[in-house]
Amino acid sequence: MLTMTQFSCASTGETLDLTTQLATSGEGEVWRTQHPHLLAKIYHHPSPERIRKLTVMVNHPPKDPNAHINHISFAWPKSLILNAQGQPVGFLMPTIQGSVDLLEVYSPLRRNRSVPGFNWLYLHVTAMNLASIVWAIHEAGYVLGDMKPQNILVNTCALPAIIDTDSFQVRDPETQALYPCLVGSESFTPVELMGKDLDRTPQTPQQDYFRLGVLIHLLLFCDHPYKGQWIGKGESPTPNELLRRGYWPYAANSLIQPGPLTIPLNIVHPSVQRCFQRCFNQGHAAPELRPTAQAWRRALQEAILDLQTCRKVKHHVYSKSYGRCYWCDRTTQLQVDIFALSAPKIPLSQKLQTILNTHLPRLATQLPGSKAGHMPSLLQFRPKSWPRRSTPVTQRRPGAPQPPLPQSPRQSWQPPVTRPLTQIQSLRSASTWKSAVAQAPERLSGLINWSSQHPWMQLGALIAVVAGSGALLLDLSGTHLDPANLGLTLVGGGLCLGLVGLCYLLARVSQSSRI
Amino acid sequence: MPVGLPEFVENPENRCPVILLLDTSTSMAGPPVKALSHGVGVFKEEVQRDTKAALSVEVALITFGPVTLVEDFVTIDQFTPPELVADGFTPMGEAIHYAIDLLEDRKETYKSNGIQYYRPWIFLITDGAPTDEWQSAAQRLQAGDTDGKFCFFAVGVEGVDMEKLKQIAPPHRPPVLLNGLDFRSLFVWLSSSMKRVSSGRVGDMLALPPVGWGKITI
Repeated sequence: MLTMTQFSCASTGETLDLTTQLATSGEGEVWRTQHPHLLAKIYHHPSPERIRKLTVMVNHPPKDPNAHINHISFAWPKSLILNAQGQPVGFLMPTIQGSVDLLEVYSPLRRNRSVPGFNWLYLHVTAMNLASIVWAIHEAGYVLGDMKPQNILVNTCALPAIIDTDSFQVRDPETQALYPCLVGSESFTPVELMGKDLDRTPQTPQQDYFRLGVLIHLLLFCDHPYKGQWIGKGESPTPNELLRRGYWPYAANSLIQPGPLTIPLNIVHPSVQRCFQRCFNQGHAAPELRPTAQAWRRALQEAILDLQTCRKVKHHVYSKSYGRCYWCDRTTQLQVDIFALSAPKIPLSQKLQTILNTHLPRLATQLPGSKAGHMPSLLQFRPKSWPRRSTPVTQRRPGAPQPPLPQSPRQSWQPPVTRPLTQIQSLRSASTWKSAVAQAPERLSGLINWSSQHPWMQLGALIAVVAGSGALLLDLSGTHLDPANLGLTLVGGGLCLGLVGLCYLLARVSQSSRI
Repeated sequence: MPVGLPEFVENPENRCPVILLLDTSTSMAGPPVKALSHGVGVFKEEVQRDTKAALSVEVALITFGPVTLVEDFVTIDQFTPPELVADGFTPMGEAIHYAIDLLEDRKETYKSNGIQYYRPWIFLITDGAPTDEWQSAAQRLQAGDTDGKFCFFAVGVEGVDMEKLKQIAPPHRPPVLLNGLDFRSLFVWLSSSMKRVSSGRVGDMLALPPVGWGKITI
């Protein structure tokens, strides 16, 4: 427990006020500061080596490929923290807001509770973005080392952020001194590192490629690769032992075969399938054969462009190369739909469907080419970055940076029901009135083209039309009707009903426009 | 459709099965059984704090005197800590056999669903001596522990026949005598051990954390 001694920022000299403790571990504590965008990590035992490592990190930060869209890709040490005696004891880092652990998006059970709406498309994009970030970190000469779901946060735009960056392996570019990564996790440790002393073993990006493969598998298949039906003698070995022997369901002579719950490999795009096979088969014991972060990114990019929404179930997304909706088949077979749990409570509007179906192919022309030295920006699903009607895609210069976004994607978590779809809301509110008018016929036809999910709209409109026309007719022929009382009553009643119906329709229109 | 299948579809995480084998004989009546019930509640709370462990840890609760399956294997969020009632004898031998059989059944379920699991734990808490034939049970559990089929822990509460318990427990993991009725610390330790197992942290020794809630008798 820290006593409230005076801490200060080493680079600015400003006194730091540690407000609330966020986490504590064997090595230190993480605290909020008086600045909401900065967190402080204070070590229990700040050794000189730790401080030297931090100093190198502070002086040589990697280039954040998403600085231009205000997204923080990694919580990098910004500056050291000094105690009252002027000794470095920790560091300041940016806060990652509005994000959850990777576990919350890949585990079907957790996804239902935390992020409903995060469907297979979002999982693909998260995986691709993750590969981009890992690439950026490797380009700067660092190795992540302890890659695991607890160290990766994701927001609702499928933008990941890496935390716990002080555990990275760091090489001082001036002295070439190496500061190793001291920790690892069982399911993410490649076979060549098993049993080794991590504090004495230099790591290479190839070890990270294995971990990236496992993480991408978690995202796309909602489960670890090294599991399935044990067909060997006796009891199944422990999960770590299965990893060590390379027993995943698609290895040659594997004693683990696809089980009744295993999601088959061939539902993903063939490029991604090949990456998995290279990573876990050829690359199992030969690190140099594992696909690089760039290779993963390219394969996932192809896969995303191949995705398609299911006609039967709107929140199912499948790859065209597989040819059918696997999630519908799985639901029929197992009576449980792991993506039904993540369906948004508000049904997807036709407008959203149009966006999903038309913008996916457009992304191919938007993604900047791989110029030498140019780091491609992350793909994110924010409608503001999609071209508006007035700016045809062909006029956009290739390689041009995305236009700056008026709103920061960092927002605090809102109730899951509305969260994933607020991006579409911002698209609507940002449209000019001209484009709104241009969109009106489409919107009206969207309203008229009722699905069976809107009986209320049918009813309301019907009442309005009947009452309105009835009132009009009565009014026109009112002078010829006999008992004025009856006429007046009918007219008044009809007008009231018409008014109620119109109000109801307006309410439904504004509600559906918020989708 | 086999029972338990939907839970594996929604949550295919590697499981950490734990069996709590609790003595609820007459001698535990009063403060001991109350403290024990409370301790089980603490276990659930502590494990739930870690999201990953909450998905992995599965608990089954067996009480004896008479041998009763109070709760079959469920993940921790569906586990309801019961109010334990102390009344009966101490058929420890039968209880141990039952626990091992239950575990074998559960492993079959995992196998047929393609679910992997970490080494299961069986946690025995007792305050007396067995009132039935226990030698065969002791042999079976020691063999199972040595073969790596499960980890057996024996904890004795004040009044326990420690000599008998030492003969039952595996020789490389002797029984521990609880400090008074400090079940809370015991279960906090158990939950953090479970969290360690489910997080699979490399670079930490997988040795157990220092035991503060009891002492090992030699």
